[in-house]
Amino acid sequence: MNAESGKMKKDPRNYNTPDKQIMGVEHVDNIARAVLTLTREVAVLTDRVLVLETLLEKEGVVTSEAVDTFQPDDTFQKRADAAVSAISAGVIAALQGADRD
Amino acid sequence: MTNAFQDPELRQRGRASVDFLAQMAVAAGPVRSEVDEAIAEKVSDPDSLPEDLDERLAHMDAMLADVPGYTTQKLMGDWHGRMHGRLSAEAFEEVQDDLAEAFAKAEQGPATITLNPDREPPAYWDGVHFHRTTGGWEGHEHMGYIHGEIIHKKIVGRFFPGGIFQQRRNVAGMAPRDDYARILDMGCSSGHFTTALAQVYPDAQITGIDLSARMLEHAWRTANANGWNWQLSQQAAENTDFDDGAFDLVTSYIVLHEMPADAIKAMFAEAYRLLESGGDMLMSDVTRYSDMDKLGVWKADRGAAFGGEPHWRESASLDLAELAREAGFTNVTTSGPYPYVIQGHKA
Repeated sequence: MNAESGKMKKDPRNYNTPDKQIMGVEHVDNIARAVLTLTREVAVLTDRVLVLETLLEKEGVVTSEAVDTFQPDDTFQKRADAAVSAISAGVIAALQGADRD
Repeated sequence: MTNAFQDPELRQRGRASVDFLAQMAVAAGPVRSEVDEAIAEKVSDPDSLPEDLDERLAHMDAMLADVPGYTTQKLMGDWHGRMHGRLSAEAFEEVQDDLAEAFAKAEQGPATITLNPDREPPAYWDGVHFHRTTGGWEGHEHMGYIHGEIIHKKIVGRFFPGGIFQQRRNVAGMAPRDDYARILDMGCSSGHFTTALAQVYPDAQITGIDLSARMLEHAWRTANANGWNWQLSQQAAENTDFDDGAFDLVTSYIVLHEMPADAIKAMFAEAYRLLESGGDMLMSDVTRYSDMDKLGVWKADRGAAFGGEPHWRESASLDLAELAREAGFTNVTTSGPYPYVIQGHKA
């Protein structure tokens, strides 16, 4: 029996939300990688919303195939690049602690 | 939808994913600036850095440990290294069905391919994930296509003003003659430099060799799609089955840094053997460590250490001109810094 479980036994309410550290320092890099992986998913979804907006404005009704096979022109590409660049810059700044007060 | 064999249109998820990889590099600009400013402040004299390259890596890591941008730069580089192959494979798989017709057509044509699945791959290559490509060059049934058409054209190509093919054509055109009849491209991979050779020397019979079956398959389809009669075979450049004097030009494009010194020496000797009297050698590779200051070498060496380049340090430290002369070449010339081009003549 370790100190943590001993403490838990003293007060049964400690079982409500057990105080346990899950992630060790050896997991920090994986968490950072997960952040970047999620950033990619946000970027993909942002692009998809931009495609939807563009096609809806042009066609009124769109199919998922039309969204999947949409090929950007220069105007769209610049808009998408700017949106993804802003998302990436925000995540990069946070990773550097640049969002601290 | 149907798709073109070369430079295919990607579907939304794959297209946005490769765009993200490219935009991450753009967004990392301020991080690079921050790290460069910290280095300028902390390293007043690059000559004072440790001579030993491992010590220099450790020294710079310790010196920059408190620079937030340096940690972020390492993280982003690592993520890109781990993910670019996976994301590109995913983007390919989304359009694989769309490409079926183009693939079928590209398997008919004048090019030939000879694979040798029973070969003994050299230890310096076998199981190595060069460029941290997921699973290595043989890690996906269509790795040649993924590498040649998606990674190179849709990610790497964005960072080469004028395009990666113009750079290759410029190098191909550096050979001293324009009437070569039989050209061998050593380490031809998916056929990018071979394409430049075909464009610069349209009347030559071009032969390409590489260790990777998956890369050769893409070169073969590329040749067929363009009507080129390339003869492709799976062989090590340092030990081929061609006759003495079979070629009048032997080339390689930025493959030497994927080989250790003894293999490069053997490759130069093989190139000399394969050239007829009066033939030329035209090879190229990354910037020599001897042409950079200690900071430049540290940056290149660190990039290699974490970029899936196990032989870069050994290879980039070689005096290629000296090796070419030792192999028997005369009129040896070099130019650089990147690509570093070395030429020689067989008297």
